[in-house]
Amino acid sequence: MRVMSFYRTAIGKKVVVAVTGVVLFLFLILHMAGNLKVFAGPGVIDEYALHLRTIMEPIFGWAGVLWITRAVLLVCVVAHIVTVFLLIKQNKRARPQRYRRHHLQASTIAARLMQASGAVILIFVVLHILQFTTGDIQPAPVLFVEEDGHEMAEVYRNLHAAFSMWWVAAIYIFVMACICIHLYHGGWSFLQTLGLDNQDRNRGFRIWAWLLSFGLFVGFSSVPFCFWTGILPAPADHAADVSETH
Amino acid sequence: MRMILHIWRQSGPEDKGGFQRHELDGVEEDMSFLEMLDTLNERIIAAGDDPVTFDSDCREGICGACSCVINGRPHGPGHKSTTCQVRMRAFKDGDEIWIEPFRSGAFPIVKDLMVDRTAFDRIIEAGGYISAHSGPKPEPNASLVPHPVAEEAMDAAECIGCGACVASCPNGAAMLFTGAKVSHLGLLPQGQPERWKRARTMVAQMDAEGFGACTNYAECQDACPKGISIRFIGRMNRDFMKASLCEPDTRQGQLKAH
Amino acid sequence: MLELDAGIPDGDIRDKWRNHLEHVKLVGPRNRPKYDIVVVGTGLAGAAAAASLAAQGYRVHVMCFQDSSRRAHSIAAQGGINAPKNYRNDGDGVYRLFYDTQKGGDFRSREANVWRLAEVATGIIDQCTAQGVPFAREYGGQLANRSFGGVLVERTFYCRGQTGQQLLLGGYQALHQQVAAGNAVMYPRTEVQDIVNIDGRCRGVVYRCLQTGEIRSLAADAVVLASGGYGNVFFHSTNAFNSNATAAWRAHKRGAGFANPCYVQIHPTCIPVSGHFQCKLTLMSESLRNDGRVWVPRNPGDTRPPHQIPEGDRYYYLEERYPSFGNLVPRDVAARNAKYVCDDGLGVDGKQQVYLDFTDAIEQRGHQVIAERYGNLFDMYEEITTDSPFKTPMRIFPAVHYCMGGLWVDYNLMTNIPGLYAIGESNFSDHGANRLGASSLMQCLADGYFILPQTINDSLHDIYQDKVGTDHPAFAQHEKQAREHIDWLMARTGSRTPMAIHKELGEVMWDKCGMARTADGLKEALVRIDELKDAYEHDMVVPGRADTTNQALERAGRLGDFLELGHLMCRDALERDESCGCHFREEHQTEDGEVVRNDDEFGNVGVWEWKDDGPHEKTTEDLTFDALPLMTRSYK
Repeated sequence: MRVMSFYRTAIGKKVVVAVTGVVLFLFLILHMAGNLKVFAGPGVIDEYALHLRTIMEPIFGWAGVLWITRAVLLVCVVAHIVTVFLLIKQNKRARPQRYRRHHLQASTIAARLMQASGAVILIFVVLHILQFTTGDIQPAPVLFVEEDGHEMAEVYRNLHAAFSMWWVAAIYIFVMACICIHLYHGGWSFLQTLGLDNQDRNRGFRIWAWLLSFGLFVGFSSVPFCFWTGILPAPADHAADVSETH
Repeated sequence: MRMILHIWRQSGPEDKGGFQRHELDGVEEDMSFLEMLDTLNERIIAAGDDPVTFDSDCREGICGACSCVINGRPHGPGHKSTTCQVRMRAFKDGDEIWIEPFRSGAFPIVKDLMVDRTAFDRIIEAGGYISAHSGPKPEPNASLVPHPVAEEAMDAAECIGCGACVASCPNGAAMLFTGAKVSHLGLLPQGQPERWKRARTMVAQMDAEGFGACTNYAECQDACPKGISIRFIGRMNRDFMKASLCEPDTRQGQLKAH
Repeated sequence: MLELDAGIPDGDIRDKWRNHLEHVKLVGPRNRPKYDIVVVGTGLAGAAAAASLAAQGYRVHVMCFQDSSRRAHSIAAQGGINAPKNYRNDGDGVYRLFYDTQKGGDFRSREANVWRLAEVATGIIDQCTAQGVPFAREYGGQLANRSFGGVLVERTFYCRGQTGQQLLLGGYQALHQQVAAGNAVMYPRTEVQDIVNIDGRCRGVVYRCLQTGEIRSLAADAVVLASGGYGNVFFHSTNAFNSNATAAWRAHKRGAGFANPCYVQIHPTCIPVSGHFQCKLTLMSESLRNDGRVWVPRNPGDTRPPHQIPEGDRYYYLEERYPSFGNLVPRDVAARNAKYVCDDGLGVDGKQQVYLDFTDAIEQRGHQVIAERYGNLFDMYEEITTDSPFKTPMRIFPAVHYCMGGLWVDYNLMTNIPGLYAIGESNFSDHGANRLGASSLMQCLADGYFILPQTINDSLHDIYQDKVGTDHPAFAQHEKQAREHIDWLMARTGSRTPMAIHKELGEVMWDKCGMARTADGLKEALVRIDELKDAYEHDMVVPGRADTTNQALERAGRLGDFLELGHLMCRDALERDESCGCHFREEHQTEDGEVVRNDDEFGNVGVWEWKDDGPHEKTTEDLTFDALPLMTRSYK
């Protein structure tokens, strides 16, 4: 009951957005750490993908932990977006008539683009899952292998195939830029919303948010960039694959 | 100087309203913005028309009555100043100036540039006070307030209730106003007994008045004539979270500055 | 002839207030909700009184012309509030504050009231601290003090340069707590047009809703006027743009005596008038004289920039003439001396202005300390003039600031109309012919928190049985008169705007009834005001409609009262044929320009009675000087 009445207030909703945002932020850091394994060679990242499915397998079964994580993330994404929509509705009501030309002074570009960058990210996430997780959309062929009787994607190979196409890499890098500015504002904002910010720390927090979000941008973008430019090598049997599919 | 003024005219809350163009000669640099409007009004009256209605009172930046949005900025150009403190030297000869009322769903327009800000009074009524009957009171030095805490409380207490924070916020949020009062009273030792209840009731009233939610644009802090910091919003959020989720009413708040 | 009984309690001055409280009649808590009390004005006095009365359980109706009660002009008081706490251990105490106030007022205030004020003053600090007013604190956590003009102790408490604001917000919050509790009802954007007396007792008000133009009535068992001073008679003053005397003046026209209207304080440190368009002067706090030194070039026509004028060519006139108080002489003395030096042609750049210089203070105490103390005032000054007081001395000149005169009240703060009270600046009682700095906040809060809430019971006690409602014919009749007056104003179709006439009235008042007055000048002013009154009646234009917000109409209504009041001020100044405090008649001065009182003839309060069919009539209330014998004021 108390939680519901808390959620009904504007601040309650902001806190929900902030907390779910933090969870998603943390997930992105892990996601990026996993991605960077491509630089250790094709075998390593595929092994990592397998590992994700076998963590605590005796307790949770094949990919059990992965599914739990996915469920948590889904809840966070839904809560984040639904709450943001409710807030936008409230804010529209609070300012029914706009100024002839509102001269914004203090807000950052990142803050003003929160809704737009958020929308881009949402569309991207859907496409990204359809592409690399389920293989439903295939700008480049997505390959699956059998492990312990379960089907799973071949990570390195798929990445290489997709990002060798310049426009796929470009779209990914563009979206990563959107995520970067979304997280710059979000990364500082959640500290302010949760009341952790203050005058002495503000500068530090801003720098922190910038470093973190820019770090994520660099980390994430490096993968498509390096496949596209050929810095990351093709898988060993790459030539064979290509001839197979043709 | 000669000014081209586009002034929002609206006969009442129900009227649709629109801009009216005026040209004004003989504007002097030392004039305040409101004196410029006075001059315009004198001419409008002499011409037999209805002068522009706008709020103003102390004309020295402390009462918080004046409330124009000038060229898209509440209280116009200038940093940490109210409309009455803006001087015409901030403009050039021949400039076009667009003058609008503070816009917010919670501030209905009364007439022209005059708005109804009683929503702020109701937020205060919801809890922006420390209950104290008038009568003999304990010696104030009996409860010491460290200098930095007193200064911090004063930083928050400087709010003049003008509503520029709401007017500047793209979301029409009143978080800075409410946060300033929650912080001012919540920082002082005498404000502790009602601290948690205050945070809850004031925030609830703020929502009930139809103000928007904060998205940390920080426009309010920039528009505030007293330069009140958004850290007080953070402080309110923290107090509100504690008050709503941890039920600390039975415990007194801890006296602590940022 | 008015019958004036101040009702000063017997006994030693130290015991009067306590004895009085012991014998004041009371109203029981269960009966209080049956009483309606109207409070007009929400400044320090009004907000404090309304909050206190509502908290006691009375039904309080609070009116103000602003959109919110938080905007009353008390909010602009900068410097501080006095209380003889003696935290500095510098010999302060109730008697000292009494002494300073009585002497500062040049022995024209009522001794018993002044003593009471000094007595309750310490409680104000306790009260306000309890409400959460963030008074400045020292590093050890104790309350900090600064000093103000006219005294030799440090007894002024402050919140940066916004003391009035913080005190007012304390009262405003307390009041709105009562609004939420249902004990008080706010009537914002409302202007009182008239008071209604029935069978010799004030029984309510007629008011106008400024948003809709409706004229309505409110019946009450007591009406408290806390409507402030009438400094805007002078057009240029430090009062708020809309401050007015309408409620007090209309009460006066219904029989309330108006006391000492000629006592108007001219504040020495204001930003000089810069142009014909200006309609408001900005005060620079008296606290600046703690660290600022006032001077002018010693030689007329010296146009060098200030920092190029060597020490020998500077005339620190206050320090030279008043070695013991120096720059901290009382306001009337400081203001008058600024006028003298400017009249002698020593004004900076040949204009009506003098320097207030912080160079020495910045050198001695450091930029940081001065910035902490006066930063916001310096910013305000720089914004208006573009000069930074850190780099170049401020230019200042006196301006009308405060009215010591006002409605006559007895010891209970009740006017001569039973049931009608006046508190704060709107009454005459405590400051005599000159008010000391940081004392008006003190008086307003003393009246509002501690005095009125206890004395008002005395007249309420036995009347709740005979309630009068707005169905009484007197209300309909007063409403009709108010409507007719509005209609009359709306029918003005001449050529001059209310503001133009007001400006002219201000010029006359400033020239003839300002810092120095002469019999001839005052007589001339009376004629000029009559001419302006004629222009007001026959050549004024009021635009727009009366059934919606019409600020020109509001202004026109207030101007009518100012014209009548200005006339009375000049008459009072003319008949008070002596100099005292701020009332300086050039005919009565010493060789070096100090005031010369005439205690035998004028050691009294001049109270004026309105006559519908002729000029005002004056009655006097004699003052006593038992606790502090009469002496010549000297700040040398």
